[in-house]
Amino acid sequence: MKGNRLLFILLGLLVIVLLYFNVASKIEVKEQYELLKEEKALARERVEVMLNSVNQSSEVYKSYFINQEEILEGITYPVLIYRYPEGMCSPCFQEDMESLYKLQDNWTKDKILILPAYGDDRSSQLAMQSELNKFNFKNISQSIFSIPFNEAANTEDRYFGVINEKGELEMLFFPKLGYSELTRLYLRKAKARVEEE
Amino acid sequence: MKKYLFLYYWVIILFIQTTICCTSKNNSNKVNQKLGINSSLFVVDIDNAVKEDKIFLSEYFKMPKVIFLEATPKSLIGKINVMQTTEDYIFILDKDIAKSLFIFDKEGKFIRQIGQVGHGPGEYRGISDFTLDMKNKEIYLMDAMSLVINKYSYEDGKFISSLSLSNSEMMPFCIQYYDGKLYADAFFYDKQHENKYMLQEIDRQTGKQINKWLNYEEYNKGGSLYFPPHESYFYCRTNGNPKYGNVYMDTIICIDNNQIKPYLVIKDKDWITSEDIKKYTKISQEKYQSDNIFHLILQEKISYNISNFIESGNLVYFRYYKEGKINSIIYNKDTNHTRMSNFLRDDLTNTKLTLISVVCADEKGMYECLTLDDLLSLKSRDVNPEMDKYEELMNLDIDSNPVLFYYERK
Repeated sequence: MKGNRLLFILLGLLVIVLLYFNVASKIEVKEQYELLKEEKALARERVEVMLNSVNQSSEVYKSYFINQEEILEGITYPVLIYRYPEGMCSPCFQEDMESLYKLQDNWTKDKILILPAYGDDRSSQLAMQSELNKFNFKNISQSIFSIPFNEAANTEDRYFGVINEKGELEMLFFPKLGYSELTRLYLRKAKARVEEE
Repeated sequence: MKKYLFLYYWVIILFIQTTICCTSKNNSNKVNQKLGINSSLFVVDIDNAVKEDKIFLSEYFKMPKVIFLEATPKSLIGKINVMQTTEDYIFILDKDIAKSLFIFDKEGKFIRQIGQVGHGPGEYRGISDFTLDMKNKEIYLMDAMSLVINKYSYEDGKFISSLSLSNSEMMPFCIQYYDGKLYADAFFYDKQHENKYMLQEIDRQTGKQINKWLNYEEYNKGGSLYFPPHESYFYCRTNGNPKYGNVYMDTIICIDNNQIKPYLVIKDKDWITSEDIKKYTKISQEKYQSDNIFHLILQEKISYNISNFIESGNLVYFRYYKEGKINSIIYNKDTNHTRMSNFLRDDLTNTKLTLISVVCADEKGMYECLTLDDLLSLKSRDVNPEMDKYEELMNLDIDSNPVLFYYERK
């Protein structure tokens, strides 16, 4: 009997130690979860502010949409557009496309239109067809529809936008590499805008 | 006693659970740092090789067979990055332009495309390399952008399964299947990562690393900045044992019967050293805020970057850089004789000035690729009219697919 008692005491101690490790690790996970939740809420708040300013800044860029009739030829709108130049930074393009793939999974294909600006040579056409094989797209030269140039970054700025029911460009959004969460939030808003038409 | 039995069980379960909890964070991989011993190591003695003005292909090969890769709307190729052959097929990866993998028969007839760019099952974002399991007629595509390896049947093109590597600490870019095992190279985002290894074995079921070899410090002269290769760091992939070599390595490694061992070593007094890499990295960091030293060592009397390593029978061919030039090496494994030149001249067809696009080889010969740029300049060259399919070759236009030349050994 004494032996059994000793065994139970040892087992009891072992249980306490094990419980301590279990509880400690669970508390750590919970704390991390709470922290993430707070960060996410803060980020959402900032995004709301930023997205509200999207429409206001659109006016500045409407000048790029001057050959409107030529651009809109063959396009059914309202539609969400993504405009980008050939040879832009590959990770940027991949990140944007990832967001578009996710959006298209839950939407109709004809509501998204990619407007790349590729050359007419064989290699450019091959690359474009391969990259965009899952999307509706229309190759429009920069001589017809120029892409805003960012002098600070020395690059052309790819962007998303909505062509509304009147054929006007609105809700411009310039995505940034590493901020795909922002892009997805924008796309959610843009989708809602296209659907309300 | 029976009433306390549940307590025993409970303690055991709790113990197992806690053990799993505490060990999962530090789940270290098995390491096999030691290489096998190769008693018949080949030594390419560049120090004592005579540098020749030109080496002519006609010394080794017969007039090449010309293979036109059929250009259908589904088989348009922009560039051949990686190519492998089996008895029946030619596999071509165009990772830059068409961004897909195409299978042709040995006469160039288009058979099928494997997968496509996309988001769904069996689709990929960007293939960096592929490898073949010829026994099971399967093909593995490495999607380095998604960190996924997709497996397909190459007999019917059907997607079989997908292996995620997103939890791997070593990111692969190139892959190699051999004898039931899947090998990969490794690169790191973390510059401070210690114990970096270049080669790893991946579990084909879980995607986890099983083994790792070739410490960057020891085998790549300390150069751990990863340069994605134009082709692959794996060579001789379907004939014999696969080989592996990285940018600063002076040794070609062989994968052989569960062993990773040195296969061929280059004896060159000008081969890049750890001190060179440290010195130029420091200069590059100070001047250009970059770890890339290629532009600094390009014109120096420093040898580096073996590429295009192929073997056909007793013949080994490879290239490397030195003083801004590409040195071509031909090494005979039977006689240990080394030949070296800046110009490997195709005097059989005279289709280009120097041979630079050797893509793969088999026991009987080697494949070379005529790019679109080469095709466009053909009319201005004195191409041998006796060559195979001369008329068709001269009538190709810019919409053609690249053309393959198969040079059979004499």
